[in-house]
Amino acid sequence: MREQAWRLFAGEYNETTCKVEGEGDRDPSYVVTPLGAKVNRLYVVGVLTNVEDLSSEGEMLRAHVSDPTGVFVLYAGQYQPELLDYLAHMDTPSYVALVGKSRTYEPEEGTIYVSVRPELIKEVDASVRNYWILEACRHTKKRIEAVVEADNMTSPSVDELKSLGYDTALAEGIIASLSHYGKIDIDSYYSLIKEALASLKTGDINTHSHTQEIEEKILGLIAKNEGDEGIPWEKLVKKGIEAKFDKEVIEKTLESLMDKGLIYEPQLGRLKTA
Amino acid sequence: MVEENNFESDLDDVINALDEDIDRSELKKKLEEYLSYGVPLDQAKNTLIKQYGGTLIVSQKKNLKDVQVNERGLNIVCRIISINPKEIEVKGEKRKIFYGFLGDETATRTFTSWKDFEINKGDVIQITNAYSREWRKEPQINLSESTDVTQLDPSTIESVVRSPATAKIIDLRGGMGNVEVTARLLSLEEKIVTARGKEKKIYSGIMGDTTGKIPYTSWKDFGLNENDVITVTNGYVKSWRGAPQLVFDENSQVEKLDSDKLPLQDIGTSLVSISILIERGGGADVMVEGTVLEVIKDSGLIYRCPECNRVLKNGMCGTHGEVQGIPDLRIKAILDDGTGSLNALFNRERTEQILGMTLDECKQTAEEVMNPALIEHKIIDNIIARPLQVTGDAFSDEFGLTFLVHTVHMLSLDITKQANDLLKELEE
Repeated sequence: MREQAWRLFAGEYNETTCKVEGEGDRDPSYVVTPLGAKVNRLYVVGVLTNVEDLSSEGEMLRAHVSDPTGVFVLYAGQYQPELLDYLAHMDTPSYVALVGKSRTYEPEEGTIYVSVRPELIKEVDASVRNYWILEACRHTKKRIEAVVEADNMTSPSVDELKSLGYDTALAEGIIASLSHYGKIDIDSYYSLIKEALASLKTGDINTHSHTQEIEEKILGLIAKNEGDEGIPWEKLVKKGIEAKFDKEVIEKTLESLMDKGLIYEPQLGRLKTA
Repeated sequence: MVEENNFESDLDDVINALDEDIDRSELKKKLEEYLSYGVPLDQAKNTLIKQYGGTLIVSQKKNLKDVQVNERGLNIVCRIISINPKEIEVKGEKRKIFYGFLGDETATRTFTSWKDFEINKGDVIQITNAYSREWRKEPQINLSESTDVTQLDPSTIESVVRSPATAKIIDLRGGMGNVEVTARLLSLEEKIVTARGKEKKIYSGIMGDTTGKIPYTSWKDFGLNENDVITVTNGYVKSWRGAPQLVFDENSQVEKLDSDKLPLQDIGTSLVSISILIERGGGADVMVEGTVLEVIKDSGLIYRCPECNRVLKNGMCGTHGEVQGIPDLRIKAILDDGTGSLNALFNRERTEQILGMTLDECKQTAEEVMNPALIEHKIIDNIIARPLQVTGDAFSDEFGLTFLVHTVHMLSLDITKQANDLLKELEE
């Protein structure tokens, strides 16, 4: 039986830290997202933003596909010559439909990064992308509801979720997610859907999200106060709180800005824009 | 209030369950106290026994209709209506379990026995210390290692109430027994079959309700006509050619309803998710919405053997060698809705619809550029990533679920309204 292609946003997929290895040689492996999607294959329609050659002969390409909530990282290798060739010659940015397999990378014990190995890429138009966003919203909402149901059970089980009408794959995913992630922050995923839907309403391809807005404001705060030596971490957090941001949000935003290389620490505990 | 003598026998129960000698009046005082707080008698007794370190007594005999989900210590007197062995694997070990139906004067329930109690169909038994679980939204009786079974005189239960499960067609699954279905007979044909050396006339066709359609077979002449609206009681569901089929026979009842019921236009093909279709093992005339994620090789312009209709490879038929092939169009594609995937087969007409080209036009175009694969590329361009709604027949085989497409409809990509509706729903 062919594995189904899950519809899910990068904002959910990239939070994944749970891996389920197939037991036998031929059993598929999965990653389980916080909302219980037990993903072996996924289907995404988004914006191909860039394609990089990781080797000199074009045997390994890295590409990024963006959706309203985040970015999928793709690695295509030498065993897919046709796909490599197609991908290497694609215009960026362009809308693409992507079918791929979930992949994980563990640089050290306990740290997992997820990526996608593409099986099929096809250029599409904006309407196909919009349709996908709606579909991904619906599927995400269903998973959130399943997590809530499981949370309400005294002893959540696959059978009990199935008796509520959830299919086996999702029921198994939810149970695996609960034991791996513990309490799930439901609200943040509801915001994810709302952001995605909002991007449809405005028809804004740029998907200027709430998160991006906060990032820009924090970045502005740093730029204004950094001087030559950078602004001390605590001072910035204080300024952020004065600007009515949560401490947690500020810290998360700083991490994200750091990851994106937009800020750095000239010395420990001080922040400066790059 | 609880009557005095009831009470005495209950106290006896408690004292019998205790290892130590406990003062009767002390127990009585405590029991009365619990009862005055509205604690149910069974619970009050078991609480006392627990307090004094005795072995729990099982609750009083229950009628099946009163059994709820997740009860323990069940005590039931019932008749075994059916019992079947089944091999399952638990933690890598093979185990033999039994399942079937049991019933008493009040209800019929499914059961699972995790141990071989050497019970047979028709036995009337007393079951002590069983438990119940939920199965298809109903309580199911479970017999475990710690359950006791005693054979009783069969006359203990004169008749078992058949409480058929009223089902919609979409919910029917192979293996279900004692179902009640109301449907319209969309087609009917008579067939003579040989069963156990005897010729027998059977009646079969397709029936439908508002949720879907299903093939049926009647082993008895109920005087049925096409377009009759009937309620079948005590039918059962078989898996036939990889899809569920409703069967009824001399043990079933058929009631004809007013022909205004279930008008033809309400008989539908309701939309199902692919995961449900896979779980169901297929279905007749079902509707699915999904996206084509792959077009499988040998789609497009193909040539068939004039003798056996098989698709030629390099102009050769596997059986008949080099032949003059007959051109045809078809698409084999993977359709996926995020819950599951299936192999969709589009015939010539449906392929022409998707391509917007006739077979002749396809032949001409392919000959002009001398490349029959051109049509396959056109199909890939037109169909991959395109959300579709299809209706057709689905059945399971070694490759998973195969879907013969009857109608195909490109879904509108204008989703503004749906997006707004969903946003509103979320903001409430």
